Amino acid sequence: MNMETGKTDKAIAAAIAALPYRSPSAGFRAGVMAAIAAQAAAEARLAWALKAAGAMTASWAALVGLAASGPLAAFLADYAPLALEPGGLGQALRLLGARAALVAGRLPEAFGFLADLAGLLPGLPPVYEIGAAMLATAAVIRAIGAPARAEQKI
Amino acid sequence: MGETEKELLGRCLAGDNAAFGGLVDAYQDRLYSFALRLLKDPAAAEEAAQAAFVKAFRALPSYNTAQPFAPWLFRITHNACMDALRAGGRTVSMDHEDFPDLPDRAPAMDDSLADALDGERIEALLASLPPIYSEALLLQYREDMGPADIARVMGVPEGTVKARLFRGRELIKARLRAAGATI
Repeated sequence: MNMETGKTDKAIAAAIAALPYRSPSAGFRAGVMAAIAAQAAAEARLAWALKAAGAMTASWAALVGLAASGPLAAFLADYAPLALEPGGLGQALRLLGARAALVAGRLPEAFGFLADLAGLLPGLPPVYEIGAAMLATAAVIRAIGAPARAEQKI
Repeated sequence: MGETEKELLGRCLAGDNAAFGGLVDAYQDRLYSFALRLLKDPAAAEEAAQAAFVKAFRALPSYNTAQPFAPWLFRITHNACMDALRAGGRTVSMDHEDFPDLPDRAPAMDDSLADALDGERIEALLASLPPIYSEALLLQYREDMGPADIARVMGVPEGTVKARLFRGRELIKARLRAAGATI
């Protein structure tokens, strides 16, 4: 680098260093803070939605558990004494197989009912669909569980 | 500013969103000027600087406090400006990396030309450069960053930064000479 080049480089550096900073428009800061606040609000809404979905899932699980408890208790009442008898385990398993076949036979009917129900729902908001699905699930469990006791007695 | 900036960053990282306003106050002119000199459009520059601040706020939890804050913030602004340039259909890749034709031994610069480098003229000369050169020059001389920090901002190796600084200066000299020939 010769002296002339050095001098010019320094002149360029000094000229760039002395460039003034420009200011954005008056609403710039407010715009940034508003965007940040909007983002924070959106994150809060998302957190609320996730909590609501979690609460709905938990209540759904509780409802399913409640609806299933009756058939489960009846199931245990039917099969436990039989399974406890000598040689009763094999018999209980055969009965279970027969009952499973009966339930499988009812499944298409249950799915058809759900499909019909779903066909009525598209116009409703998702929360009603979820609520209806919860009720439908409980109804299916009851429908499958309750008559099975009678089938088993035959 | 160092302590204040650290304090503001600490408050922001602790979840105090209002403290970010202090960082906006401290950097808005610098980021806006940087964006304006790259984009050459006040509205686009304001949009890019605003987007950079919002992105910085979102990315703050990932900011490494052991690193200086300014290059990190300028890196985000650089990305916002590159996005704006691309959106405007401008080439911002290495298309300008080839050094323009310059004589091997440049003739000595007239002292009066070097002395005549006032703000208006250097502003016009920077605006005439491809962004990769004007950006490197602005970060080096206006923002007082070293090649390592500039490399972090521009996302290129330090050697590339040094080459861009050299080429940027040479381009300015060449344009000064060309302007001097017509004066």
